[in-house]
Amino acid sequence: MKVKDKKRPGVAPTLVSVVVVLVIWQIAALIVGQDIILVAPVQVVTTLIALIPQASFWATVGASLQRIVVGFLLAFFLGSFAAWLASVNRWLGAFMSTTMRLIRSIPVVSFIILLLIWANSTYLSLWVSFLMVVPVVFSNAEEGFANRDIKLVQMSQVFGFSAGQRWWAITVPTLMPYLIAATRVGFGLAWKAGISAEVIGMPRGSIGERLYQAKIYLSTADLFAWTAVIVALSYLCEKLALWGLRGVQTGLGRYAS
Amino acid sequence: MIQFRNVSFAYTGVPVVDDLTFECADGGVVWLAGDNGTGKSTTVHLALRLLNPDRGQIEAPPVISAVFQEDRLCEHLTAVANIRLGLGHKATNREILAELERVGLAEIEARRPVGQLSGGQRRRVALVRALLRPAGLTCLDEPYTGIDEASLDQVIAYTQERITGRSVILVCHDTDIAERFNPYVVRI
Repeated sequence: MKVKDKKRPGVAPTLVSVVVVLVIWQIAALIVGQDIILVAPVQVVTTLIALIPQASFWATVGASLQRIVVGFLLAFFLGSFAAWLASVNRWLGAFMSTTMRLIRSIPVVSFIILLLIWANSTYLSLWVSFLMVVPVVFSNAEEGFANRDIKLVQMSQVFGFSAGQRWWAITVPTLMPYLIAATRVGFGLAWKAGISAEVIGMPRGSIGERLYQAKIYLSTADLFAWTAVIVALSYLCEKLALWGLRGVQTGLGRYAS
Repeated sequence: MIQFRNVSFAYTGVPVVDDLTFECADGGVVWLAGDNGTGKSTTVHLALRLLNPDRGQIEAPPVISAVFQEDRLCEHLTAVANIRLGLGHKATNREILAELERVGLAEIEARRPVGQLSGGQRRRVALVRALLRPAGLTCLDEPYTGIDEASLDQVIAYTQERITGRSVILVCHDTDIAERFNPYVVRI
């Protein structure tokens, strides 16, 4: 018998929620009656349909996507590595925790301005995404390392596991739920912070630049269309990363069997 | 051979093992008998080098194996994978499956992650993992917990066959089971 996962709303309730939000939005747009203040969803879809076939649209999406994904991946691997270092040495642990706490509490805009002073705006979104995500990955992975089952580690000592066997059979499976949680939170953060950085730094051919142009020309339809693109990209990135991580988890189940 | 010479151990100042001396030759079985909390599992941990004695000396062979009080299996791995990890040498799936079948675990169960197995099935996996490893010392801490009466004889016979030639430290509350191994009794 299949047991329903009560935590997941399912496809039908999600679709109904989306439709309800769109209907409320449409009604609100009709009541306001001014496209500059609140554009109707139909018009946003029309703008999106006009944007999608353009080569410049894909070039813009590609440029922002590339920087934000690289920023996230750097944060994912370096944050996990820092957490591992923190788990093997308490001095390093104290140093890493303090550094991450500092990064976490500094406002994102301070980083953006500082990075603009230090370098040009081309890779600004990469570094800002990295700085926003790395403390999240670190704290999750740190907790994962701390929760390694000491009894399994003892068993691995008795049975003479190699370092690699211990890593894949005990550490990684313990770590995985923590990394999945970090990915869920982290990708959303990376996109929000990365695009904010692009709006301020305005690297050429980025989504942030297009949002800024929408503001300058008071094109609310463009603003909403590009926002929809960002939401979709953030969602797709998160799903793809979670799919990859779950693949690793499933692969571990087959490991050595 | 495993040898304890005047071994003492205390947890945060509270003595748990006090001046313990015994030895067990290859092929012999030492039965650690005693009430709950008298230090039997601690003695097993000392023999497995998971704890260092405060005083005294322990001599143990380099290759060891154990069935712990808990199963201590990697939940996401299959029974076969768990056993292979503990073996220390190469073995085919067929060989491992044949061993599991001897303790009553069918192939279909042996190929499932152990997290999906019952307590008794997991115990059999832990037992086969300990007994297949070519160890000089094997510690069996309540090895038959959760195994049903109907298959107990089969599992005990398998254990007796597999421990030939190695030293065994047995912790078992069931006197009848322990005596089937014709053990040297150490009361602690």
